[in-house]
Amino acid sequence: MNKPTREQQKVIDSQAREIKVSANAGSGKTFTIMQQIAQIVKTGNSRVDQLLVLTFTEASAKDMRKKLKEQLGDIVKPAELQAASIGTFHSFCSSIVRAWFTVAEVSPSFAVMDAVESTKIKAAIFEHVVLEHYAKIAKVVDLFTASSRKLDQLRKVVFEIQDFLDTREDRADWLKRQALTAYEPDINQNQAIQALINYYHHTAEKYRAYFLETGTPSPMLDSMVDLCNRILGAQTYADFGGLDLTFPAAKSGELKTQSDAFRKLREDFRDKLCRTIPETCQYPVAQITADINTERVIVEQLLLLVQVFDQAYQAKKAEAKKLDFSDLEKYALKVLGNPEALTSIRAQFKYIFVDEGQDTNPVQFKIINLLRGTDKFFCIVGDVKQSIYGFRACEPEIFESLTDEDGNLVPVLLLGKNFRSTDPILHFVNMVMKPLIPHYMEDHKFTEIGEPNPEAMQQAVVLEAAKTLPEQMELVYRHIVAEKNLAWQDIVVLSETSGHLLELQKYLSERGISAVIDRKTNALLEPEITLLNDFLFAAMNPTNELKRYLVLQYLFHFSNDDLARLRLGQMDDQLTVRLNQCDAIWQQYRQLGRSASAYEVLTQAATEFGMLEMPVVSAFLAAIRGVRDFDTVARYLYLIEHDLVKIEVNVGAYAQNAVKLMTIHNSKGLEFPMVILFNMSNPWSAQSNERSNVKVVYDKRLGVCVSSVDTENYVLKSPVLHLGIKKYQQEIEVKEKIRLLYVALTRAKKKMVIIGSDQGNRYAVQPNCMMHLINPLTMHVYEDGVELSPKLTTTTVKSKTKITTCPVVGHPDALVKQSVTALATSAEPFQDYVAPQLFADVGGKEFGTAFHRQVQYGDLPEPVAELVTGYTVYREIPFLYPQGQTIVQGIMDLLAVKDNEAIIVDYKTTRLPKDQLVAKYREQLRLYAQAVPNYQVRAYLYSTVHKALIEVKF
Amino acid sequence: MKVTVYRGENFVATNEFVLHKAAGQPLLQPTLVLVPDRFTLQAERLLLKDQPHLLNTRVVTFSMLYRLVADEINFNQPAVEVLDKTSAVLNLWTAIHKIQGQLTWFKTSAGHYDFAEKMFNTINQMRSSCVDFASLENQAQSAVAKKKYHDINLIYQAYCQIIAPRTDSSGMLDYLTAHAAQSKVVQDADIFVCGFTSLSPARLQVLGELCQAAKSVTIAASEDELCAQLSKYKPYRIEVDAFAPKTITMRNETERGEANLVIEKIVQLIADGVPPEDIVVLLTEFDTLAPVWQVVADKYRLPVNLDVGTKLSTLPEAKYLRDLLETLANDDAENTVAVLFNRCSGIDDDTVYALDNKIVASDLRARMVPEIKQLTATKNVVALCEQLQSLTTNEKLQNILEQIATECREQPFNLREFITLFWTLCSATKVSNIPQYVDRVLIAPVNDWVPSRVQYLFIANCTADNFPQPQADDDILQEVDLVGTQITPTPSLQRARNYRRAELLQTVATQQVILSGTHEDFTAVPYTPVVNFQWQKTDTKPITVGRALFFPENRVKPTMLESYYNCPYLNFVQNGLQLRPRALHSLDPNTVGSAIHAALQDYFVHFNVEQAIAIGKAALDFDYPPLTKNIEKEMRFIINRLAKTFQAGKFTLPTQVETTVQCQLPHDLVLSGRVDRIDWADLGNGARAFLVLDYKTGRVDHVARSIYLGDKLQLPIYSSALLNDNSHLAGAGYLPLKSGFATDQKTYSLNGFVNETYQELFPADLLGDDTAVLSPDVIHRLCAHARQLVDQAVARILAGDVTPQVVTKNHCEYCPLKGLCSQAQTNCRDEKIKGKKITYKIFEEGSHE
Repeated sequence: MNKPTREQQKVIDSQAREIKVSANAGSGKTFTIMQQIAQIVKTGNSRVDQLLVLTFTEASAKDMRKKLKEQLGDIVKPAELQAASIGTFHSFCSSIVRAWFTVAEVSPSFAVMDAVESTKIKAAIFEHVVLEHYAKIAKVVDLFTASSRKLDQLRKVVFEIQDFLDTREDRADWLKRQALTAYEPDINQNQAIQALINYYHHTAEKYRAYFLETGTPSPMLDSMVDLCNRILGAQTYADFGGLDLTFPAAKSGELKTQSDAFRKLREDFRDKLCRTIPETCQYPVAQITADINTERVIVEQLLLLVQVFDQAYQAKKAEAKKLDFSDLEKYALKVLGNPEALTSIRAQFKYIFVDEGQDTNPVQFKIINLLRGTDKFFCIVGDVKQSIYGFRACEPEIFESLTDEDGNLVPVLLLGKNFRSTDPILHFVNMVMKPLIPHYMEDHKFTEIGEPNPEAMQQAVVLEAAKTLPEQMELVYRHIVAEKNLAWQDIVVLSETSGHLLELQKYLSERGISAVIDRKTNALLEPEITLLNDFLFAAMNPTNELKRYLVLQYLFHFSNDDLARLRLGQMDDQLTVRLNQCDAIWQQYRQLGRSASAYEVLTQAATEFGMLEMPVVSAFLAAIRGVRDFDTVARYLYLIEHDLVKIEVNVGAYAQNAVKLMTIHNSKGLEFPMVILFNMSNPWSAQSNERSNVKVVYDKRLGVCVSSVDTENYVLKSPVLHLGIKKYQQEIEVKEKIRLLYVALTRAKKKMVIIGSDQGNRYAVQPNCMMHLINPLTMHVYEDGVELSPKLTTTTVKSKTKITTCPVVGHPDALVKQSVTALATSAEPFQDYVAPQLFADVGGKEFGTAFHRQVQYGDLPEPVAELVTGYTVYREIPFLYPQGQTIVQGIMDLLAVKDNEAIIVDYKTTRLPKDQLVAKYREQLRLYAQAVPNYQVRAYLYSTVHKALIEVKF
Repeated sequence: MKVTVYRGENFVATNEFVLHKAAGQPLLQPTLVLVPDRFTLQAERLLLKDQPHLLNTRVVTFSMLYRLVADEINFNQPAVEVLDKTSAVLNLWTAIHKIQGQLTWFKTSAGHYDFAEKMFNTINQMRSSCVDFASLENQAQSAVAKKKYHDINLIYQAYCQIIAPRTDSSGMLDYLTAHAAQSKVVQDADIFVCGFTSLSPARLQVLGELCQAAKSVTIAASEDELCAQLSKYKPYRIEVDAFAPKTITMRNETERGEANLVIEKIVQLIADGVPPEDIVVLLTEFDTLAPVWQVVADKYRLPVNLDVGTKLSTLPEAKYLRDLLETLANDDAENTVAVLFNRCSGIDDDTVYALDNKIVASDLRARMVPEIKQLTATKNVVALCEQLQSLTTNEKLQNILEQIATECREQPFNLREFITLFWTLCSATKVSNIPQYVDRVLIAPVNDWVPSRVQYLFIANCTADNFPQPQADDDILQEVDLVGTQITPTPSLQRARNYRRAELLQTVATQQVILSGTHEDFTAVPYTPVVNFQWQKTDTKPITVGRALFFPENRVKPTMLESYYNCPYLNFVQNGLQLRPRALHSLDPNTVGSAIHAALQDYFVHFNVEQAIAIGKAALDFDYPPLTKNIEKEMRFIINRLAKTFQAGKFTLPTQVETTVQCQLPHDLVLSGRVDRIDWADLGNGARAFLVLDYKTGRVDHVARSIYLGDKLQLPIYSSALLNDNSHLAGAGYLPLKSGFATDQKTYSLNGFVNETYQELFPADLLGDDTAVLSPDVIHRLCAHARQLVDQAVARILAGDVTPQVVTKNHCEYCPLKGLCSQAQTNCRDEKIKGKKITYKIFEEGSHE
């Protein structure tokens, strides 16, 4: 793609001061921006350093720099290119906060905390905060601890809400007002209840439409439509409570006349609405109001807890002079709030570009707005269809509704054509997305991104169905094996959740395919790391028996029987010798562990046990080096034992020649020759179920809501508000899932395989998995007699056809013992630590120095002057000569030469008898004498104590 | 003309040329060789190459020259103390503190030590550029800059007042400019200057003075910048052999892999006869990567010399003092543990282990080290410093503490600030280490290494983000941002310096320059790391001492058998080897369970709620109101609801609690366990029916399935043990005391099985959804099956079979062994029985599958 297309050229040539580019996946977004920048620079409209380009990831910032260099390398000096402000949001914020630290009121040398550090700080203060404010927050604590007897859930919720608040520009206001929206006591005004009613209405409406579409006219159909109408007729909560939704029993034979789809819909309708509505709306209005009032107190307590916790956390951070990522944004906003700073910062830039505009949160957006003002050239690029970070409080609406200073929408330019994928794949994407988007996202239209080419499509896109997970895994395996044209690293398996990737990895590697999971995991849970840590635990504290035995077994290869004998004290000689060997190794590490950092000790242990080259180990070591909390081993062990730290590494990122397994979220922005979408029928309800234990739901619009529980009597109460918010969020979730699907479908360049079970249901009122979104819609595209859409192949796979050879590359000599080598003996000035004591006074030394200066520049002591009369005298004369492999270096106090004779005198202030002086310094003078070649040397000591010259013979 | 400038193209060779001249000086002719810091040893070695005996030739740096001159001129006064950077910054910090009120621009954060360090760097930079402080303010263009220079000037003035009569490194240069010409040492000497790529204006002034005063001055210049600076002297162009090293690149995915690659190559070179001294490896991220390289070199048995400038902060002693202070400030257990384990603590091993175990088990914080206790009383910084000083034998540490004590005498004391200050100083202070060059490959930090002639030069981590890429444009050097908003050199200036250095480095090798890196944008030798590593699985050979290990007293506990069916290996670890994870200070489910059990046992004997709760609370032995108050409430709730549950039914009284049940097993073993509660009902004619009840504070479901699989054996075993002609089993079950929230006012319900003959004896609502009503025959078979499982388990344990087998997939996640046995998800029992619904039908149909 060397020349811009017409679409792209239009963006590049755009003369508008502010533009918004809506760019489809793979449409050459970065290329276009870079072209645009190149044009601006080439035409002299701006210097490179007057450009501000903001991105969301380090990777894309790096990529942009590289591309800019390619574009402008010829005409712009590298130094200038370096000066261009291309970076992530966070790095930009960090730079302005650092430059304007006085305005931000932070320390000029603040450090940015990583997630590990902030979690640790948060965890450490949480218990204190809860205890301190317990009297004021008892109800909310009770709610969370009543069934679990732990603070974990409460902690999680508080952290989550606090994180959420960090993305709000209006946090104080949100806490005060918006957060309590759900607790409006007038239930006719209550938005959470309204959300539930809306949900019932939406759903009933859909059922009604589907009934009419699939049903054969009959009394049965009429009664179904009537039920829907009744639901649609109810307007208030009280109306719903009074509804008669008795489900009409089918008369004999009546159902047979209806289609399968209708029968299925009828059952769903009964379960989803006719049974649920009376359950949720049975409570009298007075009870709901009473519940609202009691629960409101709990929410208020929760918000209070969030607030006091937040204050404590902020104080702790300020004390440690640390900022976290959200602080960077917060303080940047503060800096930009200062007119002088704002003017100065804005003066640096003429053009502002923002990439991935759909991923901005309100705080970031405010920053952007302050920067662009009303006079900068501003270009924001994004794709609402790829906004999948709702859970991180990103708001695609911000991008959509971007307005200029007069409140008019910023003009949109479109980059529609996708260059990434082949047409057949694009055709499939169109087929799926075109009906989906208007169906679930009423306010959007889908613009096609490629040409139709249905025949080729069947080669490039394969839909496969298998019921169970092992069968699906087998399908993945077969597709990888069948692919002859691509290398393993060209194939990526995407799954919506990371849950089953581990199993898939195992399944594939058992069959000889190297597969790595490309995602961040907590290294501390990996067995390799567990073992290394256990080794360290056992080394540092041998009374920690569990660790000791485990290490004996897994690192030192003690058998079960050996361990049993060890426990029973029935050890034979051989066992005793082996145990002693292990103890000796531990002993060494204990010594090391008491002075070195965790990184150093673990690196050494990993080498000793042949684990250094394992990707997880090397990634882990890279992650812990230089971490201040791990600079002593004991502290490190304490933190991991108490589960206070998490060390995230991405092992998969290092691997080559392996199939990559990753989540769809992680694949955003990437492209691969072949993509296998795996486990696409994984129900979303699984995630919702996981959250059913969650006692709090919150929403930016509807606020915070606790599940309704009477903690005094351990009884559940009316769940209306909770349900309302949940249903509201579910509807939003489907939209996000559609966007996620779009991202998933647009990753493949050449080939795409979609694997799931064939539970597609064209009339899914509430889609439950990705397959629900894909399947029904692909089945009904070309209806004029020709079935052109991909055939849904149902494959029955015999699972567990084990291949016995296991070509997984292991370490043939792994875990073999090697001697421990001292890490840095030369750098260890602390080898022999003795108990602390104060030094004696050093008066003698000072006197010596003073005397030397005197004799260097002043008069010589009389006996010395006498001795060297007639000689040429040199004082304080330096010398150097090599002896063996060392260089001998020194300074002689006095050297006197005449012809081939030389006299050396050294002054001594030591209080020693003469003979002892000679004995002590003979070697020194011998070395001096060697420094004077080709002379007959006589050597003397001059003692200031004895005031006499003493000749020294060698 | 006594000034000679030799100009050659190659930096290294030009310097060597001048050093060769210096080595040719007659013996005893006063000679000074002026070199940059860190070049002294290198220069001495080169001099000795040409001249085996050097007498009266001094290799000096600017600061050594200062010492010579100052000592000579003021020999009868005490020597002027030269502050090292640490002390200078400390003084600047004090100065800023003093005049903080007068500052206009640097207001808020001016008190911070790290601010002082940045300020010091700025001032130092300005001084070495010979910037006139007084005129700065006048020249400033904007109001902002005016204010800033006003402040900087104020700070500088205050600093000068504080340090007088001492001096610092910039002061030293000023002194040399003023006095060097008066020194006889200088006047008599032939001076040779080499190793410099450029000179700051202040150093250039000193050099100018030397040229005026000394007997002769000879300067080596190859770098364009230095040549430009020396342009007033006429240069001699010299021909020196220009090295034309080949440059090759290599790459590996990981940093360790990169080290492996490089070290392998070095080993090969040495095998081919290259002397190790002629190979140098430079790391761009030395501090963090040096240990890795050391380890890898050790692996290949390659003798290397790490040119470590160890920081004081990495010494155990410094860490010890820091952790001690942190413990005082924070009261955090992690710091206390770190203090205990530090070898400077002087506490013997056994005590350390004991305390460590105690810290894990209890919430004991910061109270056990005598030193800590002693120090807690300290309220003033001077006293604190003195006490800390007495804890260390490290001179540098003592020095730092002494400085802090001196400088802080008048400062308000803040422990936090003190720790920061102490630690910053420790981190900034290097522990000197003179490297041995002989017969070893040198691994050095790229920025500190003195460019000298080597055959092979490896530059590692080239693709790291901070790697100095060569760059054509030199103008960038001028870009010191003194008027902008920053007070430190701009990053681009830093980068520019790196570029120049990178360029220089690539010309010093005679044979080859080898660049290595990890990132993709570097020409690559691909490397595939091992994926999917698994170590060997647990040894599956039977253990021969099963009986002694598991049944030392010939007693068999039913719970142990249940745990055996759960996972034989975990059972081996927990019940055979008796290994448990260390108890953390938290409210674990077991403790809560025992406490609630205790309360219930007491209640059903005395029927006194308050007393029962008191007993339960005592059993808890934990005090954290947000949790414990709630548990107290829960106990009350459970007791009340249980009482209510049993009020209606017949099985309420008499209640037999904590009953031991025993039965004989083969191999002379006795099975013996305790039942929480047995309820009896009179059937008339001396016959009685009984109900076996076990309280559960956690979840229980699928009792039937669990009995079938062996996870739950107690109920059928106890039931059959109690059966005889006059006592009939009415039912057995668990009473889950807590299963989340009830959906209405439901009472507790039994989870187990009931004999249909005696069904009417049960209160109607005592039977939970998961309770099966079974015929006596089925119950008989159920018990027999359980008994069979018991015998099987005992036999397998005696045979020493402890092969791991897990029950469910997420089982290993909660296992204390964390999947170490490597069995996770392979021998999963769940997998095998998936889809098979095990109900009592199995027994009814006689299927013992």
